Amino acid sequence: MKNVIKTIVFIILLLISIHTFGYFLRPSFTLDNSWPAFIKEKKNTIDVLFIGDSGIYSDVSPMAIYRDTGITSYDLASPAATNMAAYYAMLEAVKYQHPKVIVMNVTKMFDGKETNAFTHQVADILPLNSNKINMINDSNYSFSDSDKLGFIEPFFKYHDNWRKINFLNKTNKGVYYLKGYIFNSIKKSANNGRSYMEDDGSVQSLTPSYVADYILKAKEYCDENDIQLLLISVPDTIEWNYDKYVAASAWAKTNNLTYLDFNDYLGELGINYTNDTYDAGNHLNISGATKLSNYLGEYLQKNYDGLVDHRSDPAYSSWNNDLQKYIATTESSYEALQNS
Amino acid sequence: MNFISLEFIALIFISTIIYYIVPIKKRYLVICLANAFFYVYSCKFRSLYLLASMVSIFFAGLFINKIIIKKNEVKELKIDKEEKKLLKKKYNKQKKLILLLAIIINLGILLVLKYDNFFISMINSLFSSKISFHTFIVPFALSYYTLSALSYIIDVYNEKYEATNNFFKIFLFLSFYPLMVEGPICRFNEIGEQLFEGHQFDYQKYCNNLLRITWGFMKKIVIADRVGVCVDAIFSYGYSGPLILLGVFGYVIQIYAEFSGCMDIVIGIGGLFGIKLPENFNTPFFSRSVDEFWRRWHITLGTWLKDYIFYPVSISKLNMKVSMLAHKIKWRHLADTIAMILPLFCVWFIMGFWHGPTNKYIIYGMYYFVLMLLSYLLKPLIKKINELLHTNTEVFSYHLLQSFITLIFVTLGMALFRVADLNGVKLLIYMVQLPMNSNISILFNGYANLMIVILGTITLFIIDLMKYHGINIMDKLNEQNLVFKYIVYLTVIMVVLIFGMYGTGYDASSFIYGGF
Repeated sequence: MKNVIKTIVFIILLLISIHTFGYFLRPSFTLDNSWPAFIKEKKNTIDVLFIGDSGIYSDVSPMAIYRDTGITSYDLASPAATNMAAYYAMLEAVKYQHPKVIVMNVTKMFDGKETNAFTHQVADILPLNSNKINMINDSNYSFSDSDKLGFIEPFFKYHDNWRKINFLNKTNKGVYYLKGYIFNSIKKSANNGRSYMEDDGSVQSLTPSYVADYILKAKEYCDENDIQLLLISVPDTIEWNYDKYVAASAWAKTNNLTYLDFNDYLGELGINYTNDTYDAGNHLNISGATKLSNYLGEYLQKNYDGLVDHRSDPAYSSWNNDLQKYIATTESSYEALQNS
Repeated sequence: MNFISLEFIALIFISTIIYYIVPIKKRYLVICLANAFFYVYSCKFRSLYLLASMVSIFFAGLFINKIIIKKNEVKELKIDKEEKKLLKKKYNKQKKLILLLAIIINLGILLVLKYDNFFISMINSLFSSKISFHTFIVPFALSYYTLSALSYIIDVYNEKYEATNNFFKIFLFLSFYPLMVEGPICRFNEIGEQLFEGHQFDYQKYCNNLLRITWGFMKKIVIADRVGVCVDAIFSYGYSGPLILLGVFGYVIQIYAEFSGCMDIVIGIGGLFGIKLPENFNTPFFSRSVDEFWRRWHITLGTWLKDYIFYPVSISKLNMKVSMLAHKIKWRHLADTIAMILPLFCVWFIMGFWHGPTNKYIIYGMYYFVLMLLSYLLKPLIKKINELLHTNTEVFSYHLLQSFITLIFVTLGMALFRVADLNGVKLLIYMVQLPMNSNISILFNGYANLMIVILGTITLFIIDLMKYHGINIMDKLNEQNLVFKYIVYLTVIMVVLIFGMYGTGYDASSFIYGGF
């Protein structure tokens, strides 16, 4: 019995050591900032949840939407995350909030799964529960046993980061009042302007990959839980094109899904690829994101019932405080870009 | 199944835990199942070769046993001496025939699977034929278990012990799963009974063996694989200058850390079952001669060659004749040296050939053959010089010099062992004379990796030094308080887990000696 206790104590100490080192060895990613702030939000106060990849956290500013419409929303997005990863992140997010609308970026619906490193950025923030287990056992990910171990305990994925370990610098640098949005004030014009959306008369037929099945799964989940799903493609001159627009629109129509391709609304949005992008047309800067968010906020307000203006609701006073901080942080950059 | 894998670690824990749950008399069945699972999982239908070896030596052993009994009964028979002699001769012939048959089956499998292309190229060049080459996938540990199988049947033939009539014992002996990568080459009388009889659980021993396994993993995935990055780069001949020497010495560290690390894992797993496997290394780099080095390095292969090649060849009729002729020479030491030529040649030729049927390995064997012969021949001369110079040979500085010279010769041998082919040696000699074209940091993928290799090697050296001086580090640790022991255990495990080169981004690298 004494030996059993000694063994159990040792195993516990070992697991604590592994988990502690794992915490310090794992670098911080986008969701490491937005997720902890998201779960701290008052339960069921977020009306719209934006999920997907960098197109969401770069292009959609929840605070810009709140400023104009009073709709509360949040960006839960991770770099290069396909709809597979986004689907599992959504299943976890709805445990904390019951949004009325979920907006999903589908720019990656023609791609295969994201690389393991990017899957980690999503999976590592999920608590170890049935949702995470289902994710790492998902046959479309086809993870090896050692990969799975790395998902269960990220130490095994990041142990090789020992050269970069910094015990003193492991603090959450997340700017909570941005509500998951990552603000960027750089301007780097796109080379090809809006030509990527021109119909050159030779449309190539494209088929969505297995990743699109997760959009359907998300739709099924939303229907069962009284949530409306809106699919969008954010403006993107690099990853998007006219062929994808045609194929995605047809696919959404076939599956009876509401789909909004912002690449087809560039004129209405007022997106100007000289001024509104920070990486030559892949993502929008604060100027472009504000334009897109304004349009999107208006669209949501017009088309979805139950999205209430919370700006004068005392229960949402913290949002008004956050809005002031948001304006103070972004206003000058926004103005500078408008005047450039 | 790779040793550096989750499956293998799971197999270790599952098999040892079930082993101690099952009633003591049935515990051998757990090892049988684990062995079968490991081998069939790893080698699929190629497991049949191992089965063939088991069946062949089992039945050959039984037949030889029967013949020995009959031969011994001859004494009791009431027949005349001449008839007894004839009967004994007949039984000896039968015994020899069965031994030869067993050797042919076992060596045949080894030669066909591993050396087929060597023989085909020999036949093609001798007879100008055009037999096409064929590469078999060699089952795990073929070279190792074949030598074990041969040792069993030869020992039974030599009446060193009786053949077993329990097939399970042969099954356990030849297929014990930790041995199925790099050995050590075991003898039936060392482990046969141990594997069969059930062992009581000993908590302290179990913990000690887990620590030894972890230490083995540290040698392999922290030190050997890390220095291997640099060694592989240098032996791909893209670097020059003193970096070549770094690569050559790096290889010595790599192969020692890896091979002895694997043995720590293997012997540790054996220990988890309560089985004491033979040691394969005994602080080889403290050797003061090449001869001593080979008594401390890959010990089980060395003793196998000594017992089954060196002694039989030494007392063979041919060598006895050579010896008698040699002893007509007045200088006795020279005569003794000549008498050693044939047995030593056979040992080192087989040593080289066992590693692989290429010129490189055969020359590697011959390198040691010449070194051994010369070191024996020159012994009196060195003694004389030392006497003339009044050198004190019993002091630390002299021992250090001897160890250093041994290390140089061993390192040269290792370089020969590591090059892709003999042209590689020429290339290395040429490259070493050129100016240095890179820096150590690039080769190690950063100075931090180099630091780990240095610290790891120093740790390895200190532990070997303690062992050399008879200090058992495990006993010392066991004497300590629990808190201190836990700190040591946790430190070793965490060092392996953090600094080990495993998981995403690394191929589960196999063991160098697993390829032989």
